[in-house]
Amino acid sequence: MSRLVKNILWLNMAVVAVLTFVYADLMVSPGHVITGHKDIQGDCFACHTLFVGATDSKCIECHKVKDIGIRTTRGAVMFKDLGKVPVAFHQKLPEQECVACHSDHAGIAIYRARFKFSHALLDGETRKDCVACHAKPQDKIHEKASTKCSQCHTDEKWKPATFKHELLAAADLAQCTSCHQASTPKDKLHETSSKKCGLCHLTDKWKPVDFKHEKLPRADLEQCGACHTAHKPKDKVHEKASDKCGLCHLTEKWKPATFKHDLLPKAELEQCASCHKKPTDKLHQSASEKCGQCHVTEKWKPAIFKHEALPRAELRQCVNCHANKAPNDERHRAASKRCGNCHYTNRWEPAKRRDVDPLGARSTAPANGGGGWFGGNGGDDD
Amino acid sequence: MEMKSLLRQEVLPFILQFALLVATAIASDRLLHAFDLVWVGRYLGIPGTLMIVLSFLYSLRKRKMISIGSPKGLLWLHETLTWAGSLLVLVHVGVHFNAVLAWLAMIFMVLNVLSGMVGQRLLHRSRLHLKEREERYRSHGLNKEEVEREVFWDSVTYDLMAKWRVVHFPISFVFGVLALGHILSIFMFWGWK
Repeated sequence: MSRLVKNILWLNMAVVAVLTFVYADLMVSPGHVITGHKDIQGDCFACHTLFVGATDSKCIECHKVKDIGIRTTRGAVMFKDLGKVPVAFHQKLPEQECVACHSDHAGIAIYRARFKFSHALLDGETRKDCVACHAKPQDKIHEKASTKCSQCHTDEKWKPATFKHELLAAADLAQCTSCHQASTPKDKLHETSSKKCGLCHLTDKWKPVDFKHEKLPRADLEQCGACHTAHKPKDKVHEKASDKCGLCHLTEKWKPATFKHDLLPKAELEQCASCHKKPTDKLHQSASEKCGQCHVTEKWKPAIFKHEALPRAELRQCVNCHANKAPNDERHRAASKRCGNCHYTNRWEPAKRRDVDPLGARSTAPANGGGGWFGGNGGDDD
Repeated sequence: MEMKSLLRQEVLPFILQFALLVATAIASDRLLHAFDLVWVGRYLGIPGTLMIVLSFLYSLRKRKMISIGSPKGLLWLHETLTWAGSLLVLVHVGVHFNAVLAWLAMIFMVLNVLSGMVGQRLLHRSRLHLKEREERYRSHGLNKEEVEREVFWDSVTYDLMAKWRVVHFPISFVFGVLALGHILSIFMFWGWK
Protein backbone atom coordinates (compact mmCIF):
# COMPACT_ATOMS: atom_id res chain seq x y z
CA MET A 1 0.00 0.00 0.00
CA SER A 2 1.46 3.32 -1.01
CA ARG A 3 2.22 6.05 1.50
CA LEU A 4 -0.36 8.32 -0.14
CA VAL A 5 -3.14 5.77 0.29
CA LYS A 6 -2.12 5.23 3.91
CA ASN A 7 -2.20 8.96 4.61
CA ILE A 8 -5.60 9.33 2.99
CA LEU A 9 -6.86 6.44 5.08
CA TRP A 10 -5.60 7.89 8.34
CA LEU A 11 -6.96 11.31 7.43
CA ASN A 12 -10.38 9.87 6.79
CA MET A 13 -10.33 7.94 10.01
CA ALA A 14 -9.34 11.07 11.89
CA VAL A 15 -12.26 12.96 10.35
CA VAL A 16 -14.66 10.19 11.33
CA ALA A 17 -13.27 10.21 14.88
CA VAL A 18 -13.73 13.96 15.19
CA LEU A 19 -17.26 13.78 13.79
CA THR A 20 -18.09 11.02 16.25
CA PHE A 21 -17.16 13.19 19.21
CA VAL A 22 -18.59 16.45 17.88
CA TYR A 23 -21.87 15.01 16.56
CA ALA A 24 -22.22 12.08 18.93
CA ASP A 25 -26.03 12.17 18.78
CA LEU A 26 -25.86 11.61 15.01
CA MET A 27 -22.88 9.29 14.81
CA VAL A 28 -23.53 7.08 17.83
CA SER A 29 -27.03 7.69 19.16
CA PRO A 30 -29.62 5.06 18.16
CA GLY A 31 -32.28 7.61 17.24
CA HIS A 32 -33.78 10.71 18.80
CA VAL A 33 -34.53 10.94 22.49
CA ILE A 34 -38.07 11.58 23.75
CA THR A 35 -39.45 15.12 23.53
CA GLY A 36 -38.99 15.69 27.25
CA HIS A 37 -35.26 15.09 26.91
CA LYS A 38 -34.84 17.24 23.80
CA ASP A 39 -32.75 19.78 25.68
CA ILE A 40 -30.13 17.18 26.57
CA GLN A 41 -30.09 15.46 23.14
CA GLY A 42 -26.33 15.81 22.66
CA ASP A 43 -25.32 15.29 26.29
CA CYS A 44 -25.01 11.50 26.32
CA PHE A 45 -23.59 11.40 29.82
CA ALA A 46 -26.58 13.21 31.25
CA CYS A 47 -28.19 9.76 31.31
CA HIS A 48 -25.36 7.36 30.50
CA THR A 49 -22.49 6.38 32.72
CA LEU A 50 -19.32 5.42 30.87
CA PHE A 51 -19.17 1.66 30.15
CA VAL A 52 -22.24 1.06 32.34
CA GLY A 53 -25.04 2.52 30.26
CA ALA A 54 -28.15 4.40 31.34
CA THR A 55 -28.51 3.92 35.07
CA ASP A 56 -31.53 4.25 37.33
CA SER A 57 -29.60 6.58 39.62
CA LYS A 58 -29.12 9.02 36.73
CA CYS A 59 -32.87 8.98 36.04
CA ILE A 60 -33.73 9.52 39.70
CA GLU A 61 -31.35 12.47 39.91
CA CYS A 62 -33.94 14.42 37.91
CA HIS A 63 -37.09 12.34 38.35
CA LYS A 64 -37.55 12.20 42.11
CA VAL A 65 -39.63 9.12 42.78
CA LYS A 66 -41.81 10.81 45.36
CA ASP A 67 -42.75 13.52 42.82
CA ILE A 68 -43.45 11.34 39.79
CA GLY A 69 -46.99 11.94 38.62
CA ILE A 70 -47.39 14.80 41.08
CA ARG A 71 -44.76 17.39 40.16
CA THR A 72 -42.64 17.93 37.06
CA THR A 73 -38.85 17.67 37.20
CA ARG A 74 -38.82 21.47 37.39
CA GLY A 75 -41.06 21.39 40.47
CA ALA A 76 -44.30 22.51 38.81
CA VAL A 77 -47.42 20.95 40.39
CA MET A 78 -49.25 18.71 37.90
CA PHE A 79 -52.51 18.53 39.86
CA LYS A 80 -53.86 21.61 41.58
CA ASP A 81 -56.17 19.44 43.63
CA LEU A 82 -53.86 16.97 45.26
CA GLY A 83 -56.89 14.96 46.29
CA LYS A 84 -57.40 14.08 42.62
CA VAL A 85 -53.93 12.68 42.13
CA PRO A 86 -54.22 9.20 40.64
CA VAL A 87 -52.77 6.29 42.50
CA ALA A 88 -49.13 6.89 43.36
CA PHE A 89 -47.87 4.10 41.13
CA HIS A 90 -44.14 4.75 40.93
CA GLN A 91 -43.92 5.43 44.62
CA LYS A 92 -45.28 1.98 45.40
CA LEU A 93 -42.99 0.01 43.13
CA PRO A 94 -40.88 -2.45 45.10
CA GLU A 95 -37.79 -1.69 42.97
CA GLN A 96 -36.77 1.45 41.13
CA GLU A 97 -35.66 0.03 37.76
CA CYS A 98 -36.52 2.81 35.36
CA VAL A 99 -35.03 1.27 32.20
CA ALA A 100 -36.90 -1.97 32.82
CA CYS A 101 -39.98 -0.14 31.54
CA HIS A 102 -38.79 3.06 29.90
CA SER A 103 -36.61 3.42 26.84
CA ASP A 104 -35.58 6.73 25.47
CA HIS A 105 -34.01 6.54 22.03
CA ALA A 106 -36.49 5.95 19.21
CA GLY A 107 -34.10 3.51 17.53
CA ILE A 108 -34.27 0.88 20.22
CA ALA A 109 -38.03 1.22 20.60
CA ILE A 110 -38.49 -1.67 18.21
CA TYR A 111 -36.74 -3.97 20.63
CA ARG A 112 -38.68 -2.89 23.67
CA ALA A 113 -42.02 -1.24 24.30
CA ARG A 114 -41.49 2.35 25.34
CA PHE A 115 -43.51 1.86 28.48
CA LYS A 116 -43.54 -1.80 29.36
CA PHE A 117 -46.10 -1.48 32.09
CA SER A 118 -47.26 -4.54 33.94
CA HIS A 119 -49.98 -4.74 36.58
CA ALA A 120 -47.78 -7.30 38.29
CA LEU A 121 -45.60 -4.37 39.37
CA LEU A 122 -48.41 -3.00 41.51
CA ASP A 123 -48.88 -3.94 45.12
CA GLY A 124 -51.87 -6.13 45.94
CA GLU A 125 -54.21 -3.40 47.20
CA THR A 126 -53.52 -1.02 44.34
CA ARG A 127 -53.96 -3.80 41.79
CA LYS A 128 -57.49 -4.49 43.03
CA ASP A 129 -58.45 -0.83 42.91
CA CYS A 130 -58.90 -0.63 39.13
CA VAL A 131 -60.88 2.60 39.13
CA ALA A 132 -58.05 4.39 40.88
CA CYS A 133 -56.35 4.54 37.46
CA HIS A 134 -59.00 3.46 34.95
CA ALA A 135 -62.28 5.23 34.32
CA LYS A 136 -65.25 2.92 34.38
CA PRO A 137 -67.09 2.93 31.04
CA GLN A 138 -70.36 4.85 31.12
CA ASP A 139 -72.24 2.53 28.77
CA LYS A 140 -75.31 0.46 29.53
CA ILE A 141 -73.38 -2.74 30.02
CA HIS A 142 -71.17 -1.34 32.72
CA GLU A 143 -73.85 0.73 34.39
CA LYS A 144 -74.63 -1.94 36.95
CA ALA A 145 -71.22 -3.57 36.91
CA SER A 146 -69.11 -3.45 40.02
CA THR A 147 -65.66 -1.89 40.09
CA LYS A 148 -64.08 -5.32 40.17
CA CYS A 149 -63.07 -5.21 36.51
CA SER A 150 -61.13 -8.45 36.86
CA GLN A 151 -64.40 -10.36 37.11
CA CYS A 152 -64.68 -9.97 33.35
CA HIS A 153 -61.45 -8.39 32.08
CA THR A 154 -57.82 -9.45 32.35
CA ASP A 155 -55.11 -6.99 33.28
CA GLU A 156 -53.32 -7.73 30.00
CA LYS A 157 -55.98 -6.31 27.71
CA TRP A 158 -59.54 -5.04 27.86
CA LYS A 159 -60.86 -7.38 25.19
CA PRO A 160 -61.87 -10.11 24.93
CA ALA A 161 -63.78 -9.96 28.19
CA THR A 162 -65.32 -13.05 29.73
CA PHE A 163 -68.61 -12.00 31.19
CA LYS A 164 -70.36 -14.48 33.47
CA HIS A 165 -74.08 -14.04 33.86
CA GLU A 166 -73.97 -15.92 37.13
CA LEU A 167 -72.30 -12.91 38.67
CA LEU A 168 -75.46 -10.88 38.18
CA ALA A 169 -78.14 -10.51 40.79
CA ALA A 170 -81.26 -12.58 40.06
CA ALA A 171 -83.32 -9.48 39.39
CA ASP A 172 -80.77 -8.11 36.92
CA LEU A 173 -80.36 -11.48 35.26
CA ALA A 174 -84.02 -11.44 34.27
CA GLN A 175 -83.66 -7.99 32.68
CA CYS A 176 -81.74 -9.12 29.61
CA THR A 177 -82.59 -6.08 27.53
CA SER A 178 -81.13 -3.70 30.04
CA CYS A 179 -77.76 -4.76 28.58
CA HIS A 180 -78.69 -6.45 25.31
CA GLN A 181 -81.17 -3.91 23.99
CA ALA A 182 -79.13 -3.22 20.89
CA SER A 183 -78.77 -6.94 20.32
CA THR A 184 -82.47 -7.76 20.39
CA PRO A 185 -83.55 -8.76 16.90
CA LYS A 186 -86.05 -6.42 15.27
CA ASP A 187 -87.86 -9.18 13.43
CA LYS A 188 -91.49 -10.21 13.74
CA LEU A 189 -90.61 -13.21 15.80
CA HIS A 190 -89.12 -11.14 18.59
CA GLU A 191 -91.50 -8.22 18.28
CA THR A 192 -94.02 -9.66 20.69
CA SER A 193 -91.61 -11.70 22.73
CA SER A 194 -91.05 -10.78 26.30
CA LYS A 195 -87.78 -9.28 27.46
CA LYS A 196 -86.93 -12.48 29.22
CA CYS A 197 -84.62 -13.81 26.56
CA GLY A 198 -83.66 -16.65 28.87
CA LEU A 199 -87.00 -18.30 28.18
CA CYS A 200 -85.62 -19.40 24.84
CA HIS A 201 -81.93 -18.47 24.70
CA LEU A 202 -78.96 -19.52 26.76
CA THR A 203 -76.58 -17.00 28.30
CA ASP A 204 -73.43 -18.32 26.67
CA LYS A 205 -74.69 -18.22 23.08
CA TRP A 206 -77.70 -17.06 21.10
CA LYS A 207 -78.21 -20.27 19.18
CA PRO A 208 -79.41 -23.00 19.34
CA VAL A 209 -82.70 -21.77 20.71
CA ASP A 210 -84.86 -23.76 23.08
CA PHE A 211 -88.22 -22.18 22.20
CA LYS A 212 -91.31 -23.69 23.74
CA HIS A 213 -94.76 -22.36 22.99
CA GLU A 214 -95.89 -23.30 26.49
CA LYS A 215 -93.60 -20.61 27.83
CA LEU A 216 -95.61 -17.94 26.08
CA PRO A 217 -98.37 -16.12 27.94
CA ARG A 218 -101.83 -17.47 27.09
CA ALA A 219 -102.75 -14.31 25.23
CA ASP A 220 -99.65 -14.44 23.01
CA LEU A 221 -100.02 -18.14 22.41
CA GLU A 222 -103.26 -17.57 20.51
CA GLN A 223 -101.74 -14.83 18.36
CA CYS A 224 -99.87 -17.20 16.05
CA GLY A 225 -99.87 -14.66 13.24
CA ALA A 226 -97.90 -12.22 15.37
CA CYS A 227 -94.83 -14.40 14.84
CA HIS A 228 -95.81 -16.67 11.97
CA THR A 229 -97.31 -14.14 9.56
CA ALA A 230 -94.85 -14.98 6.88
CA HIS A 231 -95.59 -18.65 7.37
CA LYS A 232 -99.36 -18.52 6.89
CA PRO A 233 -100.13 -20.26 3.59
CA LYS A 234 -101.76 -18.18 0.88
CA ASP A 235 -103.83 -21.05 -0.47
CA LYS A 236 -107.59 -21.46 -0.66
CA VAL A 237 -107.75 -23.62 2.42
CA HIS A 238 -106.18 -20.97 4.65
CA GLU A 239 -107.71 -17.96 2.97
CA LYS A 240 -110.62 -17.83 5.38
CA ALA A 241 -108.84 -19.50 8.26
CA SER A 242 -108.45 -17.46 11.41
CA ASP A 243 -105.04 -16.62 12.91
CA LYS A 244 -105.61 -19.25 15.53
CA CYS A 245 -103.45 -21.81 13.80
CA GLY A 246 -103.58 -23.97 16.88
CA LEU A 247 -107.17 -24.92 16.04
CA CYS A 248 -105.81 -27.27 13.39
CA HIS A 249 -102.03 -27.35 13.76
CA LEU A 250 -99.79 -28.38 16.59
CA THR A 251 -97.00 -26.13 17.87
CA GLU A 252 -94.33 -28.76 17.29
CA LYS A 253 -94.93 -29.21 13.55
CA TRP A 254 -97.22 -28.03 10.78
CA LYS A 255 -98.30 -31.45 9.60
CA PRO A 256 -100.31 -33.49 10.19
CA ALA A 257 -103.02 -30.91 10.82
CA THR A 258 -106.35 -31.87 12.41
CA PHE A 259 -109.06 -29.76 10.81
CA LYS A 260 -112.49 -29.83 12.42
CA HIS A 261 -115.37 -28.64 10.29
CA ASP A 262 -117.54 -27.94 13.28
CA LEU A 263 -115.19 -25.06 14.11
CA LEU A 264 -116.42 -23.26 11.01
CA PRO A 265 -119.31 -20.84 11.20
CA LYS A 266 -122.57 -22.33 9.95
CA ALA A 267 -122.57 -20.18 6.83
CA GLU A 268 -119.08 -21.23 5.79
CA LEU A 269 -119.71 -24.85 6.62
CA GLU A 270 -122.14 -25.05 3.73
CA GLN A 271 -119.69 -23.45 1.30
CA CYS A 272 -117.69 -26.64 0.79
CA ALA A 273 -116.40 -25.60 -2.62
CA SER A 274 -114.73 -22.55 -1.16
CA CYS A 275 -112.14 -24.96 0.20
CA HIS A 276 -112.71 -28.27 -1.57
CA LYS A 277 -112.59 -28.88 -5.26
CA LYS A 278 -115.76 -30.41 -6.60
CA PRO A 279 -115.24 -33.59 -8.70
CA THR A 280 -115.86 -33.06 -12.40
CA ASP A 281 -117.41 -36.44 -13.12
CA LYS A 282 -120.92 -37.02 -14.43
CA LEU A 283 -122.21 -37.96 -11.03
CA HIS A 284 -121.29 -34.63 -9.49
CA GLN A 285 -121.95 -32.48 -12.52
CA SER A 286 -125.52 -31.65 -11.52
CA ALA A 287 -124.89 -31.99 -7.78
CA SER A 288 -125.20 -28.89 -5.68
CA GLU A 289 -122.22 -27.48 -3.80
CA LYS A 290 -123.67 -28.72 -0.57
CA CYS A 291 -121.37 -31.70 -0.38
CA GLY A 292 -122.69 -32.49 3.09
CA GLN A 293 -125.91 -33.78 1.54
CA CYS A 294 -124.05 -36.93 0.59
CA HIS A 295 -120.61 -36.75 2.20
CA VAL A 296 -119.54 -36.43 5.78
CA THR A 297 -116.83 -33.98 6.84
CA GLU A 298 -114.49 -36.64 8.22
CA LYS A 299 -113.97 -38.48 4.92
CA TRP A 300 -115.15 -38.47 1.32
CA LYS A 301 -116.20 -42.10 1.15
CA PRO A 302 -118.51 -43.80 1.76
CA ALA A 303 -121.03 -41.23 0.59
CA ILE A 304 -124.75 -41.50 1.34
CA PHE A 305 -126.68 -40.33 -1.70
CA LYS A 306 -130.35 -39.62 -1.22
CA HIS A 307 -132.48 -39.20 -4.31
CA GLU A 308 -135.08 -37.22 -2.37
CA ALA A 309 -132.56 -34.48 -2.06
CA LEU A 310 -132.62 -34.00 -5.81
CA PRO A 311 -134.96 -31.44 -7.35
CA ARG A 312 -138.00 -33.04 -8.91
CA ALA A 313 -136.88 -32.17 -12.40
CA GLU A 314 -133.50 -33.78 -12.00
CA LEU A 315 -134.93 -36.80 -10.29
CA ARG A 316 -136.53 -37.82 -13.55
CA GLN A 317 -133.28 -37.49 -15.47
CA CYS A 318 -131.87 -40.79 -14.20
CA VAL A 319 -129.58 -41.29 -17.17
CA ASN A 320 -127.80 -38.06 -16.35
CA CYS A 321 -126.07 -40.03 -13.68
CA HIS A 322 -126.82 -43.65 -14.52
CA ALA A 323 -126.30 -43.60 -18.30
CA ASN A 324 -123.62 -46.28 -18.30
CA LYS A 325 -125.56 -48.58 -16.06
CA ALA A 326 -128.68 -48.96 -18.20
CA PRO A 327 -128.87 -52.56 -19.53
CA ASN A 328 -128.46 -52.77 -23.24
CA ASP A 329 -131.19 -55.34 -23.85
CA GLU A 330 -134.20 -55.14 -26.05
CA ARG A 331 -136.61 -54.37 -23.20
CA HIS A 332 -134.59 -51.41 -21.88
CA ARG A 333 -133.72 -50.04 -25.28
CA ALA A 334 -137.46 -49.70 -25.88
CA ALA A 335 -138.12 -48.28 -22.38
CA SER A 336 -138.16 -44.60 -21.65
CA LYS A 337 -135.23 -43.01 -19.84
CA ARG A 338 -137.34 -42.61 -16.76
CA CYS A 339 -135.92 -45.58 -14.92
CA GLY A 340 -138.12 -44.75 -11.97
CA ASN A 341 -141.10 -45.91 -13.91
CA CYS A 342 -140.03 -49.47 -13.19
CA HIS A 343 -137.12 -49.31 -10.71
CA TYR A 344 -136.71 -48.09 -7.19
CA THR A 345 -134.02 -45.59 -6.40
CA ASN A 346 -132.42 -47.68 -3.70
CA ARG A 347 -132.01 -50.86 -5.78
CA TRP A 348 -132.23 -52.05 -9.35
CA GLU A 349 -133.81 -55.43 -8.67
CA PRO A 350 -136.46 -56.41 -8.15
CA ALA A 351 -138.14 -53.87 -10.39
CA LYS A 352 -141.47 -52.60 -9.19
CA ARG A 353 -142.97 -53.08 -12.68
CA ARG A 354 -142.38 -55.60 -15.38
CA ASP A 355 -145.26 -54.73 -17.65
CA VAL A 356 -143.37 -52.78 -20.16
CA ASP A 357 -143.68 -54.47 -23.50
CA PRO A 358 -140.44 -54.39 -25.27
CA LEU A 359 -142.34 -54.15 -28.52
CA GLY A 360 -144.39 -51.22 -27.34
CA ALA A 361 -147.41 -53.08 -25.75
CA ARG A 362 -147.97 -52.14 -22.11
CA SER A 363 -149.33 -54.41 -19.40
CA THR A 364 -151.22 -52.89 -16.54
CA ALA A 365 -150.27 -55.53 -14.00
CA PRO A 366 -147.59 -54.44 -11.63
CA ALA A 367 -144.84 -56.93 -10.90
CA ASN A 368 -145.14 -56.77 -7.15
CA GLY A 369 -148.25 -54.93 -6.24
CA GLY A 370 -147.28 -51.70 -7.96
CA GLY A 371 -147.29 -48.13 -6.77
CA GLY A 372 -146.68 -44.70 -8.25
CA TRP A 373 -143.48 -42.91 -8.76
CA PHE A 374 -141.22 -44.29 -6.14
CA GLY A 375 -144.24 -44.85 -4.08
CA GLY A 376 -144.69 -48.62 -4.47
CA ASN A 377 -144.64 -50.98 -1.59
CA GLY A 378 -141.60 -52.67 -3.06
CA GLY A 379 -139.47 -50.35 -1.05
CA ASP A 380 -138.80 -46.70 -0.84
CA ASP A 381 -135.50 -45.07 -0.72
CA ASP A 382 -134.13 -45.24 2.65
CA MET B 1 -16.55 -18.65 -26.30
CA GLU B 2 -14.16 -17.06 -23.82
CA MET B 3 -16.85 -14.56 -22.79
CA LYS B 4 -19.37 -17.35 -22.21
CA SER B 5 -16.88 -19.19 -20.05
CA LEU B 6 -16.17 -16.05 -18.01
CA LEU B 7 -19.88 -15.44 -17.48
CA ARG B 8 -20.59 -19.02 -16.46
CA GLN B 9 -17.52 -19.65 -14.34
CA GLU B 10 -16.99 -16.30 -12.64
CA VAL B 11 -19.69 -13.68 -13.09
CA LEU B 12 -22.73 -15.86 -12.37
CA PRO B 13 -21.25 -17.55 -9.26
CA PHE B 14 -20.23 -14.09 -8.02
CA ILE B 15 -23.74 -12.66 -8.47
CA LEU B 16 -25.40 -15.75 -6.99
CA GLN B 17 -23.11 -15.75 -3.95
CA PHE B 18 -23.86 -12.10 -3.19
CA ALA B 19 -27.58 -12.46 -3.94
CA LEU B 20 -27.71 -15.43 -1.58
CA LEU B 21 -26.12 -13.34 1.15
CA VAL B 22 -28.63 -10.51 0.75
CA ALA B 23 -31.64 -12.81 0.36
CA THR B 24 -30.69 -14.89 3.41
CA ALA B 25 -30.23 -11.75 5.48
CA ILE B 26 -33.64 -10.39 4.45
CA ALA B 27 -35.35 -13.76 5.02
CA SER B 28 -33.74 -14.12 8.48
CA ASP B 29 -34.81 -10.60 9.43
CA ARG B 30 -38.38 -11.32 8.25
CA LEU B 31 -38.44 -14.53 10.29
CA LEU B 32 -37.29 -12.73 13.43
CA HIS B 33 -40.01 -10.14 12.94
CA ALA B 34 -42.62 -12.83 12.28
CA PHE B 35 -41.79 -14.65 15.51
CA ASP B 36 -41.41 -11.43 17.50
CA LEU B 37 -37.73 -12.18 18.03
CA VAL B 38 -36.29 -8.91 16.76
CA TRP B 39 -34.28 -8.61 19.96
CA VAL B 40 -32.32 -11.74 18.94
CA GLY B 41 -31.09 -9.93 15.83
CA ARG B 42 -29.61 -7.25 18.05
CA TYR B 43 -27.24 -9.79 19.63
CA LEU B 44 -26.32 -11.52 16.33
CA GLY B 45 -23.77 -8.72 15.85
CA ILE B 46 -21.57 -10.36 18.48
CA PRO B 47 -21.12 -13.82 16.89
CA GLY B 48 -20.93 -12.13 13.47
CA THR B 49 -18.07 -9.92 14.59
CA LEU B 50 -16.28 -12.83 16.29
CA MET B 51 -16.49 -14.89 13.09
CA ILE B 52 -15.06 -12.04 11.04
CA VAL B 53 -12.26 -11.55 13.58
CA LEU B 54 -11.54 -15.29 13.49
CA SER B 55 -11.31 -15.21 9.69
CA PHE B 56 -8.23 -12.95 10.00
CA LEU B 57 -6.22 -16.02 11.00
CA TYR B 58 -5.65 -16.47 7.27
CA SER B 59 -4.34 -12.92 6.91
CA LEU B 60 -1.93 -13.50 9.79
CA ARG B 61 -0.81 -16.85 8.33
CA LYS B 62 -0.31 -15.31 4.89
CA ARG B 63 1.90 -12.59 6.34
CA LYS B 64 3.76 -15.28 8.32
CA MET B 65 2.73 -13.66 11.60
CA ILE B 66 1.56 -17.10 12.73
CA SER B 67 2.69 -20.49 11.46
CA ILE B 68 -0.18 -22.77 12.46
CA GLY B 69 -2.71 -24.18 9.97
CA SER B 70 -2.49 -24.87 6.26
CA PRO B 71 -2.88 -21.76 4.07
CA LYS B 72 -5.43 -23.55 1.92
CA GLY B 73 -7.60 -24.54 4.89
CA LEU B 74 -7.31 -21.10 6.45
CA LEU B 75 -8.27 -19.47 3.14
CA TRP B 76 -11.43 -21.60 3.05
CA LEU B 77 -12.09 -20.60 6.65
CA HIS B 78 -11.49 -16.94 5.75
CA GLU B 79 -13.97 -17.05 2.87
CA THR B 80 -16.60 -18.97 4.82
CA LEU B 81 -16.40 -17.09 8.11
CA THR B 82 -16.44 -13.65 6.49
CA TRP B 83 -19.51 -14.59 4.42
CA ALA B 84 -21.39 -16.12 7.36
CA GLY B 85 -20.21 -13.42 9.79
CA SER B 86 -21.36 -10.71 7.40
CA LEU B 87 -24.73 -12.44 7.14
CA LEU B 88 -25.18 -12.31 10.92
CA VAL B 89 -24.09 -8.68 11.02
CA LEU B 90 -26.55 -7.81 8.23
CA VAL B 91 -29.38 -9.43 10.21
CA HIS B 92 -28.15 -7.52 13.26
CA VAL B 93 -28.34 -4.29 11.27
CA GLY B 94 -31.85 -4.92 9.91
CA VAL B 95 -33.17 -1.82 8.21
CA HIS B 96 -32.88 0.52 11.15
CA PHE B 97 -31.59 3.93 10.18
CA ASN B 98 -30.04 5.03 13.42
CA ALA B 99 -26.42 5.85 14.25
CA VAL B 100 -24.36 7.02 11.25
CA LEU B 101 -21.18 5.34 12.50
CA ALA B 102 -22.87 1.95 12.54
CA TRP B 103 -24.21 2.52 9.04
CA LEU B 104 -20.78 3.48 7.72
CA ALA B 105 -19.36 0.31 9.27
CA MET B 106 -22.09 -1.72 7.60
CA ILE B 107 -21.51 -0.11 4.20
CA PHE B 108 -17.79 -0.83 4.37
CA MET B 109 -18.47 -4.37 5.51
CA VAL B 110 -20.60 -4.95 2.39
CA LEU B 111 -17.91 -3.34 0.22
CA ASN B 112 -15.40 -5.59 1.91
CA VAL B 113 -17.50 -8.67 1.20
CA LEU B 114 -17.87 -7.63 -2.46
CA SER B 115 -14.14 -6.98 -2.68
CA GLY B 116 -13.39 -10.34 -1.05
CA MET B 117 -15.68 -12.12 -3.50
CA VAL B 118 -13.94 -10.42 -6.42
CA GLY B 119 -10.62 -11.68 -4.99
CA GLN B 120 -12.10 -15.14 -4.65
CA ARG B 121 -13.10 -15.15 -8.34
CA LEU B 122 -9.73 -13.74 -9.41
CA LEU B 123 -7.92 -16.47 -7.49
CA HIS B 124 -10.13 -19.08 -9.04
CA ARG B 125 -9.47 -17.61 -12.47
CA SER B 126 -5.74 -17.54 -11.86
CA ARG B 127 -5.63 -21.20 -10.91
CA LEU B 128 -7.56 -22.22 -14.01
CA HIS B 129 -5.46 -19.95 -16.15
CA LEU B 130 -2.14 -21.38 -14.96
CA LYS B 131 -3.23 -24.97 -15.27
CA GLU B 132 -4.73 -24.58 -18.72
CA ARG B 133 -1.83 -22.60 -20.08
CA GLU B 134 0.84 -25.03 -18.89
CA GLU B 135 -0.96 -27.96 -20.44
CA ARG B 136 -1.67 -26.09 -23.65
CA TYR B 137 1.95 -24.97 -24.08
CA ARG B 138 3.20 -28.49 -23.64
CA SER B 139 0.62 -29.99 -25.97
CA HIS B 140 1.57 -27.45 -28.65
CA GLY B 141 5.14 -28.62 -28.41
CA LEU B 142 6.59 -25.21 -27.45
CA ASN B 143 10.21 -25.15 -26.50
CA LYS B 144 11.48 -23.88 -23.17
CA GLU B 145 11.99 -20.24 -24.31
CA GLU B 146 8.54 -20.04 -25.77
CA VAL B 147 6.99 -21.50 -22.60
CA GLU B 148 8.88 -18.90 -20.52
CA ARG B 149 7.58 -16.10 -22.68
CA GLU B 150 4.05 -17.33 -22.26
CA VAL B 151 4.51 -17.74 -18.54
CA PHE B 152 5.17 -14.00 -18.45
CA TRP B 153 1.56 -13.45 -19.25
CA ASP B 154 0.69 -15.83 -16.46
CA SER B 155 2.52 -13.60 -14.09
CA VAL B 156 0.17 -10.85 -15.15
CA THR B 157 -2.56 -12.83 -13.44
CA TYR B 158 -0.58 -12.85 -10.23
CA ASP B 159 -0.02 -9.15 -10.61
CA LEU B 160 -3.75 -8.78 -10.85
CA MET B 161 -4.11 -10.48 -7.43
CA ALA B 162 -1.50 -8.15 -6.02
CA LYS B 163 -3.37 -5.16 -7.42
CA TRP B 164 -6.58 -6.48 -5.96
CA ARG B 165 -4.95 -6.63 -2.53
CA VAL B 166 -4.13 -2.94 -2.86
CA VAL B 167 -7.86 -2.27 -3.00
CA HIS B 168 -9.03 -4.98 -0.61
CA PHE B 169 -6.75 -4.08 2.28
CA PRO B 170 -7.78 -0.42 2.65
CA ILE B 171 -11.45 -1.37 2.51
CA SER B 172 -10.85 -3.98 5.21
CA PHE B 173 -8.91 -1.46 7.23
CA VAL B 174 -11.62 1.20 7.06
CA PHE B 175 -14.27 -1.40 7.87
CA GLY B 176 -12.22 -2.56 10.84
CA VAL B 177 -11.80 0.95 12.20
CA LEU B 178 -15.47 1.88 11.75
CA ALA B 179 -16.64 -1.41 13.26
CA LEU B 180 -14.27 -0.85 16.17
CA GLY B 181 -15.71 2.64 16.65
CA HIS B 182 -19.22 1.24 16.65
CA ILE B 183 -18.31 -1.52 19.11
CA LEU B 184 -16.50 0.95 21.34
CA SER B 185 -19.51 3.27 21.39
CA ILE B 186 -21.70 0.36 22.40
CA PHE B 187 -19.39 -0.51 25.27
CA MET B 188 -19.33 3.15 26.30
CA PHE B 189 -23.07 3.74 26.34
CA TRP B 190 -24.88 0.43 26.44
CA GLY B 191 -26.11 -1.06 29.69
CA TRP B 192 -25.53 -4.80 29.61
CA LYS B 193 -28.48 -5.98 31.62
